[in-house]
Amino acid sequence: MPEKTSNSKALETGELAALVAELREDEALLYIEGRLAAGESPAELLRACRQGMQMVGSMHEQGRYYISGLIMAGEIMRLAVELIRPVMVGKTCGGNSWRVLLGTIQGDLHDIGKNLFRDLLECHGFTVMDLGVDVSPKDFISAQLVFKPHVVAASALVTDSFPHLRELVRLFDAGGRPETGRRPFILIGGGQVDERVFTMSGADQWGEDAFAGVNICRGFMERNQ
Amino acid sequence: MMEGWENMSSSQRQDALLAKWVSGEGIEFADDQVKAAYQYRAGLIRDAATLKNTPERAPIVILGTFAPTMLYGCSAKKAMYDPEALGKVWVDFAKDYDADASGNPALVMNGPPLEVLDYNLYKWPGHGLKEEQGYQFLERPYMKAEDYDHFIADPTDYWFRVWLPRTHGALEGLGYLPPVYGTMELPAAGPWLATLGAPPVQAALKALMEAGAAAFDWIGKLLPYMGRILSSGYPMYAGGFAKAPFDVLGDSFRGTGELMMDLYRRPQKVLEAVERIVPLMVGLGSSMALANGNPLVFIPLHKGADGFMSNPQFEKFYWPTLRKVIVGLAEKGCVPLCFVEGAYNQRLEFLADLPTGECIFIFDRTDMAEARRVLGGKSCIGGGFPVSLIMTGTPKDVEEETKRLLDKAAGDGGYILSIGCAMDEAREDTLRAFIEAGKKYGKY
Repeated sequence: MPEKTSNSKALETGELAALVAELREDEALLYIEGRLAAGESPAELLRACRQGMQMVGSMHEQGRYYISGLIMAGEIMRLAVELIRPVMVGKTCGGNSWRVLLGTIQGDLHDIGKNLFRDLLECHGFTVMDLGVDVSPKDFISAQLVFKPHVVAASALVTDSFPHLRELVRLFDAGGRPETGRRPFILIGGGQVDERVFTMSGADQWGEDAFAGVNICRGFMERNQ
Repeated sequence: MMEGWENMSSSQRQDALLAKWVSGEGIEFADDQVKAAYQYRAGLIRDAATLKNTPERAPIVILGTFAPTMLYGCSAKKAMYDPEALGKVWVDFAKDYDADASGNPALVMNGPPLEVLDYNLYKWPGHGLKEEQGYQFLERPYMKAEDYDHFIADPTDYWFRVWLPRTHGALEGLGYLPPVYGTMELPAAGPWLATLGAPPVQAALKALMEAGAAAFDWIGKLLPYMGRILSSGYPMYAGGFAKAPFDVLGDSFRGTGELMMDLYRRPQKVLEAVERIVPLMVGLGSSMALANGNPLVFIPLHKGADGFMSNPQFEKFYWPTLRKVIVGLAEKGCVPLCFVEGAYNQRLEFLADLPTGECIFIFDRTDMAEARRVLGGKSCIGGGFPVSLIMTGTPKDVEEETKRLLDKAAGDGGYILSIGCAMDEAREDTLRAFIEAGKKYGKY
């Protein structure tokens, strides 16, 4: 159990990040409570949590963490933000300015992968608008007018929703983005999506799982900084 | 009970029940030719499953829920609300497409009893989904973390008095019932019986009566068509249904997110809960299969797939109780037919740890060459054909891919040619090409 009153040096040495990365939920949350009470900068605590999440991401890439660990890590992050957010009122949460519009495509109610993807994106600092499940291509278009996403991500598990993916891309191709003349990057993923479905849809890229999707979004962000 | 049953091994019991199933005993065939065709098709599946004889060719089994109805222009809603239309389409599908086994149209279920019960576990066509869409599961944490002890102590009591009221709106009244155990003695029977008379409980019981009557009417209309599928020479690939205990807990009770966190927060409770589910699944699968005279028990596998958990977690939380269900069903003479959804590339060595020739694994996205390498000679394998090619490919693409798949997966027997998906839709040209290619290239 970490000392509740340990000094900022512990943050620098990555103690909180390690607690998050090792999925030590109770210890991580107690640590945050202790440090907040001691007047630690909430932004620093949040930064340390994000660093822990990035370690989780690396371990997933190395085949050491799986969905079970990612869900647990996402929950620790959510609870950490719940503790930290009240003392950050009016301050930035330190995320990037990239926006992802997300939803499960029309005809499909599955949301496990989509929700995991959303949580991971938020952990990596993306701003996400989650439209939920059974979202029509037209609703994606309506939302983009307000949200102005850099990336549109649609998930699909059932086969009869595949035509809606194609329709989604078609509508974005036709509609574009008035101010830039360019449509957002379109990413698809989900249980039965593969190379063939990707080709049929006309999307820009497809992701095998939630983490692959996050890496695609990060890659897109880095290429377009 | 067959003579000598008590002294038979699992394998001998399976052989006995499979022999009865393959014989077509009790089915009224139009003539001996149709009977022989039935026996040939069921025999292909038996030989592939048990690994004792090389079948003449790899059997072809199409897993489908709404695909047959969609192919004939019958909407999913009609399939769930008109049992005669459903039955007719399934008979036509079996005969026209001429695969080696049919699914069971009763698995499509019926809308009216679900409406009576205000069934919240799924949305179905015309009830939250469009008329053309197949039903979809609504996974939620219907069981709370603090409910584990009740579930572990008495899963059936929990199921009846807590879970049913949460998942069936019209059965909310069952939540008022005290445990049934007071009925063992006259002085303690009063509270239970008196509560049965309370208005919410009465309403729940009335809903059950009404739903039961609707379901009885439905099955009465559907049964003649199920008989016609069999009497037309097509065996069914599932006589019973069961699930891996971890999936029961994850799909229907805790939900994926909560259960995955339980692995870290309360691992011992998860282990105790899945252990309690083992006999329930063995009992469910075997009772259905034995009643239907068809020993094949369909077991869709969900949350043990690659990616969901690590191999040590799979070894601890998922595999031991799935293995117990498989072995338990085999001990009753049933043949578990596991439909392995997602990919199992990291789990194949676990599946190899089973008695030889007592279980079938139909794969979705697993590398079929690896499945053949690891499981060949140990268990029957099947599947591996991508549904995306059925939906987006040409008949020529499908023929070529079928040949490639057979070359790498069929070996010298012990393979069932199948698409790695329980299809809700399909295309006529590609599906026919798949079946024709299977007959052309699947011969041993």
